[in-house]
Amino acid sequence: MGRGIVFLVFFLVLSCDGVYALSGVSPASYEIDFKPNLKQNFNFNFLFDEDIEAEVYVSGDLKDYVKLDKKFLKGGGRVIASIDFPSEIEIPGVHRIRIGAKQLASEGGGIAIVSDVGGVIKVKVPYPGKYVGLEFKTSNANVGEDINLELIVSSMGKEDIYAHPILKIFNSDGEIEQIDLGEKFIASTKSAEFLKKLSTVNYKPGDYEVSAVVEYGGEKPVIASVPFRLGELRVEISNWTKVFERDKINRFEIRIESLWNDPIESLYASVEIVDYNVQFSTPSISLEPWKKDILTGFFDARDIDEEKFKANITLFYDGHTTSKIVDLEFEKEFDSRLYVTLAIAVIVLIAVMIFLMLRRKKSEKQKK
Amino acid sequence: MKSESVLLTVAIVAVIVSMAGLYITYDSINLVKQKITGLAVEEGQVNITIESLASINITSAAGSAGKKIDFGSGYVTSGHDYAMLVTNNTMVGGTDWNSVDGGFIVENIGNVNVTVGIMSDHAAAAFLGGTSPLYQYNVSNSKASSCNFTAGYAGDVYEDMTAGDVTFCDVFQNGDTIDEIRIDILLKVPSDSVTGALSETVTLTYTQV
Repeated sequence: MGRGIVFLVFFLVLSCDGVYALSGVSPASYEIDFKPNLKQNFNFNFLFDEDIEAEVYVSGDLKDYVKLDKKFLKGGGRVIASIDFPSEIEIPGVHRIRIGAKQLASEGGGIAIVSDVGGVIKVKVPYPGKYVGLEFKTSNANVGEDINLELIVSSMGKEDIYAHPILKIFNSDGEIEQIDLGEKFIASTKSAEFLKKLSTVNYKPGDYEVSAVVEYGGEKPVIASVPFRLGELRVEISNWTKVFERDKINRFEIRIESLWNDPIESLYASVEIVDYNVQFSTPSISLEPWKKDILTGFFDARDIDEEKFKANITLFYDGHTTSKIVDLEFEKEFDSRLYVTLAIAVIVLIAVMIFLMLRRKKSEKQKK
Repeated sequence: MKSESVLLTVAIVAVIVSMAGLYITYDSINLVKQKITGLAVEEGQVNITIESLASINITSAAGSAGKKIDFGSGYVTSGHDYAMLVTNNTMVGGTDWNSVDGGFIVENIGNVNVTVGIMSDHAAAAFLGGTSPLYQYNVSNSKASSCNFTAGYAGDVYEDMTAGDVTFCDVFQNGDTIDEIRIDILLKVPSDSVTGALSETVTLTYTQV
């Protein structure tokens, strides 16, 4: 009774209130090279729904060198961030100054969800000597199509460099090809782009990795690696429901995975129970490139007698098929007789023990 | 002989006059071309600068901005140690609270990819109080591949809400078919929680990648 009262007392009002929609900032970022004693203004236009108030602030390890022209916004507006750099910044690399505008939550109870949008000033402080940063991008393709390789080499040191990248392509067996991209001069704080279309005519479908090994006059070359996949028009059956209930209509799930780099439309499965006249199909689905999904059908098990049986799963897609013969079985039936027998045996055993104990006590009393 | 000389002179003059006429005609055509025809005689340039825009739109699952997601008022049902309220239409162990079917939908409507983090004013203990409360979020891709989840966050799993910003999306993409995520909220309200109208703010922090 007391506990019931406690439950009633702990009464809560829970609501998610004040869902404000739009927020944003333009430009989203600036990128500058560090210059001693640089003074410069940066404009950020913040977007919020009308009447939404936001607090403006600056963060990041260089925030002490930034002043903002305002601290609050209502319905968005422009914020000017003025930087006044010192003669030197000790830590090299890319420093991010974040000019943030955080929505103020509405008053009242509930859970409000708000945005904190930030514009960024990226400040590149050069490293001593020669220093290289790499950005390496690639994409998947189908066998026979070209792979676009994009390598951006940035000279992030105080000295100029000559960059000389070599691409090495690997499959599961090891290195299969090398491509020399030639040499380019890159001035300090500048970048150079190396583009290559890789022909895959002689490649097999599967997973690959390409490494860019860039010599630049430093002690060791810098290396960046990215994976890519070459597709074939094939969908694999990776898993399926294996255990079913007897004499019922059962849910049958088939897990599939696309090995193709384009969407596959109208994919469905047909399932035939081997040696029985039982067959069903799943609804068709669209399968995104390289994605996994589940096809679901319903299987009438009423005509199946055996405990273990086989099914032939066939996937149909784009004029192709994938088939697999799989083992299925019914759930093991609960053997109630065994458990009843065990329970009776335990009860009899306990009764015998109690009887023996009582008899022993009785005989002890008689002796006294 | 004299008449032949006159004829030759006339021919030479005729040639000179015709050459002059040819020159004047050619020059006139050029002049007319420049003055009264539509022929472009100078190259034109169209300059346009498209600025980057980092922008997201938060709506409820119902799809309209400003709409409430409201669990309403309620209490932990007698005989239960706690109630589970989740924005995936789960309301177990509670009485009078609304079942809420749908978390928050967040769309990247800018033209750049962004990183996204989440934080709240308080964690579960400070927000709900009581014995073993939970206050969690679950981020899933409502459009496939929209969010490249941060290492350590698998996506579509419930994680504790914290007072410090936690990045869950390294890259929240801006392509038309890959720009939408869903955030569900889970509350485990213990029978001995605090009472009254509770107030809390969840903040989504984002910047360009």
